Amino acid sequence: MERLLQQYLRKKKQFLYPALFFLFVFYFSLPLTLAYFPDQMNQFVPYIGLTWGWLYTFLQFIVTFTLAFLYMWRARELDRLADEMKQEEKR
Amino acid sequence: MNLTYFLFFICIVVCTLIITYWAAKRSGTTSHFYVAAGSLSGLQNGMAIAGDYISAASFLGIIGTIALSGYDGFLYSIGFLVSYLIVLFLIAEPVHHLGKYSLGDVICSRFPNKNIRIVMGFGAFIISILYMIPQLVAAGLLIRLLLDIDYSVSVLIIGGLMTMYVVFGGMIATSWVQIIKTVVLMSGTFLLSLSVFSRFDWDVHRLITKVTEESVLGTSFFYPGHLFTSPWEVVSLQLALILGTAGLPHILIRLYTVSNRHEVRRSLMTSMGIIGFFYIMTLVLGLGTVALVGSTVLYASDPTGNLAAPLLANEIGGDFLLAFISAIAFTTIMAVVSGLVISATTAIAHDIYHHVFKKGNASEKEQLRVAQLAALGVGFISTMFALGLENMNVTFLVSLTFIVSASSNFPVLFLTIYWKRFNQSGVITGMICGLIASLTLLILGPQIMDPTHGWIRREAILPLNNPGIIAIPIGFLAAIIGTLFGQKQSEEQYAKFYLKAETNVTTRREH
Repeated sequence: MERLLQQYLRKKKQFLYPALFFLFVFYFSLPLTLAYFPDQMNQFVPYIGLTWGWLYTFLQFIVTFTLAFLYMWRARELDRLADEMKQEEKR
Repeated sequence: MNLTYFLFFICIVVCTLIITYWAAKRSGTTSHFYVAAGSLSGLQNGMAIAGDYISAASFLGIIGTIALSGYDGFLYSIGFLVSYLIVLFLIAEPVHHLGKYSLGDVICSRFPNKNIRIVMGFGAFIISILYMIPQLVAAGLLIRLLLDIDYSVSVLIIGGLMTMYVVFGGMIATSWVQIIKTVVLMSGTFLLSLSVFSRFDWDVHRLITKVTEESVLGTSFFYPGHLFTSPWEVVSLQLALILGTAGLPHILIRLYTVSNRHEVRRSLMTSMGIIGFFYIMTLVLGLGTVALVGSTVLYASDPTGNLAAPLLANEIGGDFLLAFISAIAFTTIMAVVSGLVISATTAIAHDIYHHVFKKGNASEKEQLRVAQLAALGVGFISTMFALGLENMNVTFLVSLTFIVSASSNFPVLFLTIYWKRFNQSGVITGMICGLIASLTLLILGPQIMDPTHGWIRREAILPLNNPGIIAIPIGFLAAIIGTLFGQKQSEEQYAKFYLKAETNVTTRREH
C-alpha cells in the first residue's frame, strides 16, 4: 500500500510540478510581454500573417489543450495504481 | 411584439417545462435533487458545465468588447479557458472524492466542525446570489430591449421559470436545461460565424481589411492597449480569472453529477473543448460585427457593446435570425441562473439546515422538502432584488464573483487538500478575510467610487478595477496565519484524508 502510494505520488508530481510551473509562466508572460514590449509584440511574424501578440494568444489555446491531453494520458496510469491500491485495501 | 419572437420563446419555455416535468417524476431522493444521483456521463456533464459557465456576459459582452476594443477583448477570454486547467489539475478529482453534495462536504471531511459548515455554506450562498442578481438584471434589460416587454414582467418570467426548474426538477432538470442551452448556443453561434465568413467569400484577409476600414480604431484595432491601460490591471484580472473558476461553487458541485474520476476528467475536457471553440467563435463574431455593422452604429445603439450579437444577426439574417439569437440569449441566461439557484439552495438546505440545525439527522423526506422550500426562497429573494435594481449598474458584480471565489473558496479548498499543517482556524480566517478583503477592495475601487457615475461619488481610493492581485494573497495569507495560531492536527488523520482525496481509497489501517 505504502509503496503503491509513493509510486502514485511520484508519478503525479513528476507531471504536475513542471506542468503547473510552465502554465503559470506561459500564461502570465502574455500580459507582461504586451505591457513591456508592445512594439515587438506588434511586429509581424515572418511567413505568417499574424503579429507576435496574436500568435502568442492563439498559442495559449494550443498549450492549454496540450497540457490537458498530457494530463489525461498520465491520469490513466494513475487510475491503474489507484485501482491496485483499492484491491489491496479490500484484502 | 411580433409572431416569430413569440414562437421562439414559447418553444423554449415549453421544451424546458417538459424536461422539468420529466425530471420531477424521477427526482424522488435528495441525491437526485442535489446531484442527479451521479447519473450523468462525462460528455453530458461537460456540456452542462459549459452551459453553466458561459453566461450572457460572455455571449453578449465579450462579442461586444471585441468589437469595441479589438485585441484586448479577446485577451479577456483566455483566462476563462485556462482556468479549467487549474480545476482539472488540482481541484476536480479531490472534490469529487471527498464531497457528497457541496463544497462544505469537502472541507468538513477533513475538519468536521459546525462553524466551518456555516462559513462554507455562507460563502457559497453569497457567491451564488451575487452572481445571480446581475444576470437577472441583465436578462430583464435584454428581454425588454429585444421583445419590448416591461422590465418587471421579464424579470418575473425569468425568475419564475428558473425557480420552477429547480423546485420541481432539481439537478436533473437544471442539467438538461444547461445541456440544451449548450447545443442551441453552440449551433447558433457556429451558424452565425459561418454566415460572417460567407459574406467575405471565406477570405479571412478580406474580413480583416474590412474591419480596419470600419472600426474607429483603424489598424490599431488589432493591437493591444484599448481596454487595459496598466499592466497591473491585466495581471490582476488574469489572476482572478485563472484561480476563480476553481472556487466557483456552482461549477464545482457539477462534478458530483458523474460517477467516477474518469468521468470527472472527461467532463472537464468536454467543457474545455466547448468553451475554447466558443471563444474562437466570439472572435469571429466580434470581427464580423465591426465589418458588417460598423463600430459607430454599435456604439450608438449601446455604449457597452452588449448588442453586438443581436445587431450582427439582424444584419445577416434579418428579423428571423435576430429572433433566433434573442432566444439563444434567453436560454443562456436561464441555464446559468438555474445553476446558481441550485448552488445557493445546496448551501442553505444541505450545509446550513441539514448539517448545522439538524446536526446531520434530518430524514430523507424532510431534507427534500426543505431543499425545495429553500429553492423557492432563493428564487423569490433574488427576483425581488433584481426588480429593485433596474436602474443600478450592477455589471461589476460579475467580475466580483471571480475575485471573491479566488480569494476565499479557492485558497481554503487548495490548502485543505494539499497542506498537511492546515487546520480549522485557518479555514475560518481564510474564508472570512478573503470575503471581506475582496468586497472592501472592490468598494474602494473605481467600479463603485467614481466622481461621475459611481455609487459613491468621489475619487477611487484604489485605482484597480479588479483588486484580485491584492485580495487573493490576502485570502492565502489569512488562511496561513490563522493556521499558525491554531491547534496542530494529527498527521495520521491527514494521511488518511489525503489518500482518499487522491485515490478515493478509504483505509481502515493505521500507517
